[in-house]
Amino acid sequence: MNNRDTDLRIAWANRGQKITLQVDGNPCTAYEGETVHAALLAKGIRALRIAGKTGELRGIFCGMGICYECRVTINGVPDQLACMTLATDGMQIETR
Amino acid sequence: MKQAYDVVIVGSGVAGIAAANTLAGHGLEILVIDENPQAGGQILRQHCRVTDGFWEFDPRLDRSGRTVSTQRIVQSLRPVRRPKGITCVHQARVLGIFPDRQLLVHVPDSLGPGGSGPGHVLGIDAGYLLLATGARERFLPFKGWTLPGVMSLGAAQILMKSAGVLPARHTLIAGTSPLQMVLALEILKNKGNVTAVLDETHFAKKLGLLPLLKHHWVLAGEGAMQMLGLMIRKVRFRQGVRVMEARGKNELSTVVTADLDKKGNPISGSFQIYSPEALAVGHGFCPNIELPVQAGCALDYDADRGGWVVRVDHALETSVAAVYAAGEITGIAGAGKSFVEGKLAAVSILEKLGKTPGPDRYAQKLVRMQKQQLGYASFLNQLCQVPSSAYEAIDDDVLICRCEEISMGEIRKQIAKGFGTTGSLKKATRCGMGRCQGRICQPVLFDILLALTGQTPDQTGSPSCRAPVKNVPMAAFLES
Repeated sequence: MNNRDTDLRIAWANRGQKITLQVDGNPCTAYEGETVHAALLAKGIRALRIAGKTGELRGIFCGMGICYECRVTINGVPDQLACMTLATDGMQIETR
Repeated sequence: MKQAYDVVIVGSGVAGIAAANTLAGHGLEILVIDENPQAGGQILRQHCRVTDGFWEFDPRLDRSGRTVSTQRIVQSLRPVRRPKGITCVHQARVLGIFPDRQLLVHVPDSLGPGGSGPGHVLGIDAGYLLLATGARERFLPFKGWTLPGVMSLGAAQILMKSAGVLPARHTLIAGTSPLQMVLALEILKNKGNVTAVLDETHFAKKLGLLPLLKHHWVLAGEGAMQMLGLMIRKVRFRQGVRVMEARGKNELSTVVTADLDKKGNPISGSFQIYSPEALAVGHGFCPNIELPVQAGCALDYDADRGGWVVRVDHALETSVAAVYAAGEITGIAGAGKSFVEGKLAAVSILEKLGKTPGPDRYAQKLVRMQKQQLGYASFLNQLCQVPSSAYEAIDDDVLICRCEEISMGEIRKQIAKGFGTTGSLKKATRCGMGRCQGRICQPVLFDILLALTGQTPDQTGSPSCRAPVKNVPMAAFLES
């Protein structure tokens, strides 16, 4: 999934200004108004964290702030919900 | 934000917005708190952009006194200038409700560059409190349901509706929910591919439930049209099929399904394998009752309303004085009921405050409409219901609590030891003690308990919740 050059964005959807996020140190294009989880998924980033005991990877599950599976570090603050946070230009995101 | 408000509304979905519309213009100070970045809840999310203004339903929507369809609610929503007296705070979470309606609310700092932080916690006093916290999806766990690429039906829809992003290029849709068809049509509209729609409910069961629809034939028509839409687009639509396992290393790669017999048990040798990029699955809905439970509101168990629901009187007041509940938390029945209940709760509060809430006998009309809307609940929740044999048959290696990573085997072992209530089983296994605070696994655990012990819901016990009902960093308290 990570090697996809095209993304999952719907061509005719209304989008805000183009912005750039830093995801695990790599630049990632997103648009204002998108939540972090959507911006990551659009680029094929599906594994967001590692479950502590089993070491399994986890990704988006409920998409609405209930399940806490999409926790990532945003601007240095750990355990932020990617699905409940709007992407902003220059935002630093760390997965896993 | 102030320290005290005449009315605090928690949740700005259909019920919250309808209530705020009704309360506006009476000289009251009203605070609307929502954890999402924008208003609208789940149903209206694509229609409510981030704005300084507010949202209003066409005031004529309830004039006829008849059933209000979701479609009409969505269509009648319009942006307005924020009415005087209404304050909205987003991305804020109510952590707890204490005596005399004192609220603890977590408000995050801006997450923009240079603005990060743990947020802070505020105390707010509410003269009246209206809880409209909505619903979430329920799930029948299967092996591999934790793999990235497996998501809820709602999650797949939210990605498209809020962000204009497809859940995947090829999505397999499974479970028991009417959301399945809505999702499939949305994916097709956006030029994605639907691998198949696999509905666990047999067609014969659906036909048998139709008499429950009574006043709601419009909704049956909507369902039939959706089914027709899928057929026209040649989507593979199978009924009586369940996902048994999702496989993949690190990410979803294949899905194993089985056909179900009339009783809902897998037929041996009927396995099939699909290779979608994503699997969207859900098994109906469950009310978000954590905050009312923490506040001390009494509950009732009614499977036809979605399980444990908040007990309310005819005016929608809960067992805690001056705390009202509206929408899905009093019974899962869709947007129409949420709309009517939002209005009814607001009218009840206005009457208590000595204000005239509308035309003569308006409250009585709303009560009548609410009864009618509630009629849809039995159909909806029975349609989504998974037979208890399915919970009984979950394999030992399936994770039930995703956060604490507790398997069915561990739960079975502890139930066999005699931990037979939701409370004791939680303590024995840690199931439900993780980050989501049991929001995903507790409804599952409850159904497992009923299935394995044969107890009644009252014997098994209602859920308990303590403040803070949502995760909050300790630092947020120190910043306050």
